[in-house]
Amino acid sequence: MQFFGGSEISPSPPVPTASGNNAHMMYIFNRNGVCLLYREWNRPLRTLNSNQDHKLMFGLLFSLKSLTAKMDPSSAEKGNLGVPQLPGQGCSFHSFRTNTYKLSFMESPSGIKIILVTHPKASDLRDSLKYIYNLYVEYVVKNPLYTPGTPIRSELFNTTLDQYVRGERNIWYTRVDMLLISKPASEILLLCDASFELFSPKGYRVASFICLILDKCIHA
Amino acid sequence: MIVCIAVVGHQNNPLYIQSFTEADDALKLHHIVHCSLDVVDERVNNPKKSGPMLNETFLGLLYPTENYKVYGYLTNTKVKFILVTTDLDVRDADVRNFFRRFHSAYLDAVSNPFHVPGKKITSKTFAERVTNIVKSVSFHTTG
Amino acid sequence: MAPAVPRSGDAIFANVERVNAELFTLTYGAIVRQLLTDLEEVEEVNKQLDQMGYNIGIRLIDEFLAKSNVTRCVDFRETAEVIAKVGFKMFLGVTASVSNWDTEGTCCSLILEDNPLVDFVELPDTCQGLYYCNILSGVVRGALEMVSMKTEVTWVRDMLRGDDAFELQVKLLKQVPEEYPYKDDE
Repeated sequence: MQFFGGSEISPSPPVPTASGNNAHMMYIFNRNGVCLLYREWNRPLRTLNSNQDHKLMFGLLFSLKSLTAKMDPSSAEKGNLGVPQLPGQGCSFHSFRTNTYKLSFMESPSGIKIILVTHPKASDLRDSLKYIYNLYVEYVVKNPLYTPGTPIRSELFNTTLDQYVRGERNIWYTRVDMLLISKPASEILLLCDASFELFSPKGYRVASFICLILDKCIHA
Repeated sequence: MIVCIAVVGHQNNPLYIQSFTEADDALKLHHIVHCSLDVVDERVNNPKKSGPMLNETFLGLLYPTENYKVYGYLTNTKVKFILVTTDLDVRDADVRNFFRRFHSAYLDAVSNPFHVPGKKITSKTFAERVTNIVKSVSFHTTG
Repeated sequence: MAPAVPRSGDAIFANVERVNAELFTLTYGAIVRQLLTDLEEVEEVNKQLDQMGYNIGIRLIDEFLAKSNVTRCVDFRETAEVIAKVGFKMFLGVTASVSNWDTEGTCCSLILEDNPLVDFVELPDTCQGLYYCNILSGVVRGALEMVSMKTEVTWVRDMLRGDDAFELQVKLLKQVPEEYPYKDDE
């Protein structure tokens, strides 16, 4: 029985693989096509107004889903194209990639659709989407003042989301990895000596900062 | 044999009283219970007399009459349980044990959301449970 | 392939945060009592509890899906099983059994032997018409509606009315297909 939502979201968030600074934008839709949330991190070009943009995105997903179901070679009952699918019917896609971006998509059985648009080289983001869904449950659904089906206005959720997508908490892992590859161990130890904070569990920010410096040193 | 058991609220208002005799002496038993309340008050207000039992919920033998012995128990919320028994040779431990079981029955009864605190306990389940406890307890062990 | 659907909620139940059962029971009791005081009519209270349950259900479903890794159920039978075995275990700590299927597979009963909501509770004579646990039927209805199943949930047996178990009848009215939500004229 969960009444007092814990601060811990799920065992450990998957590292937002390569989405780091590569995430362009994110959408969350509900079943009725209401855009609950739109976040954008890096979107140089806007051609439509936001309302049209959301509709277009939702429409794209909707049609793509019915097309993928139609083309499914393994299932016999697929219904006709354009005829609404019953729950449990059909199949869905996880992502598609173009030469300029990659779109990852997740839909929960309750009709929540999470879309993340990233750099085309981003790897499989299904776990990350699932984690975002978990964040949504903790910060939005469990908030008693949130009316289901309305756009999300939760500063806390936005911040957490931003942090997660930008990978602030995790950035130093990747940086350390890079270090380990590019330098002999003795040299890295010397560098780390100066930064004991690196190993303190609460020193994420400090750590990432130090890593950035180390990074600079190496590339200098 | 236990002849009467009563629950009395903190303002000496009766919450539950049940006698277990065939004879028609309910009024007499009520009277005994009523009298015992004064003894309880006295015990509580003069802690010196009761000495080491300062923090004890079980008040022990309140007073003996020719036919009955009266025991008392006071919860931390100042609710009194009064027990009247005809057994004259009773071990304290047995009474303690009885009160403990009675107390938990009482707790479950007041946890019923439909019970109004400070009002009489009308629950049938509680009455049944009390009857069971009373039946299962026999004090004349040493006999 | 999709991850296997958990057959029991034990593992998830072990991981979710829990709250003292008595606190839970007493809180619910206090709510019901207050509703009775405010609304006066037992029938109204039933309705209100159901509505409250519904509002909980439409939120709870997302938590359920996020924590349990359940993917889409193939049919209503599977749905009922998952509710009984995983859902009830996860949120109420008890397991229900599913029985009394009708021939079309659209109506079944969830049977609860044990129900933490009713510890201590004894219905007074004045509220005999009260479905004390009506919030549960609302939760089930709300949650199922969010996964596109319109249902009707009614109590068939109620221990507080002297029956030997709690029986919740779930009847599938229709499955709502996923429609394109926007009008074409824009």
